[in-house]
Amino acid sequence: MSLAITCPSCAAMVPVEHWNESEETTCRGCTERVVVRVYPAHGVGVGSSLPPKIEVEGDASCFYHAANRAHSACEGCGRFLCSLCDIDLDGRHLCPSCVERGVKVAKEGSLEQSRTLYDSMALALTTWPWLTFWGPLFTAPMALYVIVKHWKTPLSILRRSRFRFWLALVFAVVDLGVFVLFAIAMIVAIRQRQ
Amino acid sequence: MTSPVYRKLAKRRSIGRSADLWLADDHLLFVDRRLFTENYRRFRLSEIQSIVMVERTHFRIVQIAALVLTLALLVLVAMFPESREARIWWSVPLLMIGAAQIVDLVKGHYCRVVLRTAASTVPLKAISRMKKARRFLDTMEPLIAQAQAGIGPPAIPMQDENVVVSKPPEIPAEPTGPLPYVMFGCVILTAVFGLLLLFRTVAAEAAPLSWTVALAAFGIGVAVVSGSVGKAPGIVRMLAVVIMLVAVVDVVFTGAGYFAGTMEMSSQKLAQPPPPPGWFSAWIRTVIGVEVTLGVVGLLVTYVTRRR
Repeated sequence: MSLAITCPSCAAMVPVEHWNESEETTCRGCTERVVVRVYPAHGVGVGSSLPPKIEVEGDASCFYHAANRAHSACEGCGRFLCSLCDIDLDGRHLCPSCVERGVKVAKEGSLEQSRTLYDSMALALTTWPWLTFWGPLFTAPMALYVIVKHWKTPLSILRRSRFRFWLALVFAVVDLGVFVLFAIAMIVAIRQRQ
Repeated sequence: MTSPVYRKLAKRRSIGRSADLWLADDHLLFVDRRLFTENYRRFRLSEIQSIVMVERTHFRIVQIAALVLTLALLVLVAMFPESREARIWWSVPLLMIGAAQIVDLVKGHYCRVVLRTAASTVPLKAISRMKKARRFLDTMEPLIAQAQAGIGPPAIPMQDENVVVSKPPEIPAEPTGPLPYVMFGCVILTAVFGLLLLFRTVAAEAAPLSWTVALAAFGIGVAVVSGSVGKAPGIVRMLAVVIMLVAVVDVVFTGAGYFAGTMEMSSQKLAQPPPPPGWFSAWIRTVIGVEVTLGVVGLLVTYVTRRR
């Protein structure tokens, strides 16, 4: 991996003397103002040494690399790990297979990569179709289905109340109520004409 | 295991899409939201190697040009020889657009911020202004310094200052299927139904059809712009944004005019809606012209970009 820092706009290299300057500097490629902050982690891992090998008989070896000396034990399955296999996750030491399993079953909250916001979906189904006037007749039942099916499904990993679900529920009931009233009014009007 | 407590650092919203940056004790969370899906990326503070921000001055020129154009239109409207109602009709949206542009200018220069770790280089889309980027850096720097306290100074490359690293090849746009064609077709169809609105005898039948097709164009526009069905070429996405705005304007304003006519018809017990006022017909004709132009240009652009 290159150690050079480049301008995000034109990919011209930013000279080292402009790193971590308090004021903006001018890019030589695009003449736009650039601010570069480089931290100690820059370059960590480039050319680093391999994990230590077993030298003394009786040393614990890595579960995945028998020739490497164990560095820690996995907190998920207890297997010994070398520094190559030790994955630091929120301060916990895990082996690659435990991390992979965590991603697959989504038990590991800090590994989740995406979530669907069913509450926003239900709310959209009850509001936007009103622009077409007759749309909610079809989408309100769909919204009710989404609400019932996903009421307990975890929403965003960020703070998020179920307020949208409640609002969608109210709107869906109102939507359907309006159509029921409309249908009754139509029937009464037809009967009065007859 | 307890879930981390997040503090919001930045947020940027666009139609059908948003990008947020949240800060936890030991990592930065980037949330990319498209319609009803949130995608997460985490950057541990101890692994952030660099943050680079670059100003985008050419946006400032576009901002000023748009503001000047809006103000010029406002002056033209103020000099309208037509009725007072017509002047108010045109002035209100123009004033709103002008105010939004002034706020946009006050917010400061646009910028692009890129965060780099050993594994990836990621543009932070949640931060688009220099002022906000400065505040972000002020917040992050002490935390990153604390997280990386045990590591030595950053590695310095043996670099030739005059070297310009070649840009990586651009990722080609993913196919979006026939959606752009359908969207531009819907716009032309909306214009056709809009034209029928001018004829009193078929206005009642044409109005709901016109709105439905306009809203279909709006919905497809959201899908095309947000990239939820594949990434369309930049020009097509730009046209889709314009189409979405025109569709909303079409539905709201022509809808209001149609209902006003219908109300007048029922209150005065007329057999047909009264003829629309002159300025309203002129307005509809303008919208129809814009829609036809957009539709035809869009179809041509889509056809040409697909053939390349």
